[in-house]
Amino acid sequence: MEVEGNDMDRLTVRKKELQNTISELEAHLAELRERLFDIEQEQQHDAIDNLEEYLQSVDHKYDDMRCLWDAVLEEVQLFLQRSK
Amino acid sequence: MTSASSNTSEPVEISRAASWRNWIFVATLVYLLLVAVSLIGGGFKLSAGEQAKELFAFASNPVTGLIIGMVATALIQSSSTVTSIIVGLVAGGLPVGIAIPMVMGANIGTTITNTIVSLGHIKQGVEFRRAFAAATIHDFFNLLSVVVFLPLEVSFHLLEKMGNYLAGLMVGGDSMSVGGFNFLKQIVSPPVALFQQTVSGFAPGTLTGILMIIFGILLIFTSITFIGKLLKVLMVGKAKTVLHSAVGKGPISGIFSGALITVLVQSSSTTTSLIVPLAGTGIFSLRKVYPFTLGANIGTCITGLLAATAITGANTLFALEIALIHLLYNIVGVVFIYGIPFLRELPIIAAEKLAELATENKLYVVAYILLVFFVVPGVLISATNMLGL
Repeated sequence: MEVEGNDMDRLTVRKKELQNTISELEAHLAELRERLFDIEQEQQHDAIDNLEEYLQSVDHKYDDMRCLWDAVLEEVQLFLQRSK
Repeated sequence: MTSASSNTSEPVEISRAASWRNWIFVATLVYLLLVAVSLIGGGFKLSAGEQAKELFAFASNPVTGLIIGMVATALIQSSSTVTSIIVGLVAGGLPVGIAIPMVMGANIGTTITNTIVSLGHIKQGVEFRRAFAAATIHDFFNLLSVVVFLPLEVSFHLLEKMGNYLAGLMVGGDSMSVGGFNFLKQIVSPPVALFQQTVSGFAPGTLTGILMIIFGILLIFTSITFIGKLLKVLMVGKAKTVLHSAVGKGPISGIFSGALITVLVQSSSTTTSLIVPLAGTGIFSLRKVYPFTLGANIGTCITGLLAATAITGANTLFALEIALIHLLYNIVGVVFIYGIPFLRELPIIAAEKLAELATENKLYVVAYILLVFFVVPGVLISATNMLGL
């Protein structure tokens, strides 16, 4: 009976240790997530500060259509090569 | 906007003077927009007279009306222009019930602009996938909105009833009596009357009306284009402030920011196209830009409301009604579709899936554009005509 009692105590201690480790890891994970969130926000603020660059890219629709045309031609050529 | 002078206060004053000049241009262009809407309304009344309903009988099929709005907007690449024209036509006698699907179609047509912008990233693999998804999520949301609300509108006319009720609250009698808008009649009517008098000197009544409509459409297009260009420059600082304030906040903030920026730049195409390169960098995720896109849908309604203020006379109520219906449709669409988690996810899933396919094979892009803007509309029109709807 004494031996069984010792086993129970050992398991209880082990269980508590694991629970503590998990809590620490979860707290650490939450901290890392918060740091990641802060970095993402900083990146977003930086991108917004360069909004003029992105606004300029909005005005090149003809060039964008040309990009599509070139890409489609490439795909068609690839397709024809494969079917030969 | 800088001076060669060593005096540091001069560049600031030149910049202020240039800014004032630009604002005066904007005010002038807004005035021209109002004149143009009034021209269309007057021209349509003159040319169509009592036959306005019959003239647009072909568009009484709601799918046809939807496609007219969609194709017109896709070609002009400005939903503000098309909705302003629609407001003018309603003022001239186009039945509101026929105009509603056109307004819904304009929502879809405007999405082609940001899709085109995303094509600039087409050779950049992952960047293209992100940019294309950010562009097409707008398409899929608006398509879903039409699928949900057009049948409801055809069956129950809920939007028309709500718009009519709200317009009735705001308008008293034959002309705008809200907040002193009567002064607009004084400043908008003279150039319209002058144009009509000048043209009717050498053209019969119907032709005068047609020329008024054509000139009005050209003037709307020109004024909205230049308003957009000027406001892009003038409001970029404010737009940055709005965007900064939305970083790290939830979707409601995103929706408000998108709406506010669209009001500031007077163009939903600019707002939604702007987020394409931002999303392409990966700094803003698809779920982050999604509410921003929805806000643009709401913000663009301001132009139609502005156009409605130009209308005086018996059809003021109807012009305001269609402008309010445009706003209601977009607000209700956002609340309903974004508010229900299952519906909210559908545009995200569709946009991500299509972007994945398009990254592997660019022909999917062509197929998508042809399907959404040409094949499906054609099939729907034929099907509804065959069914006698």
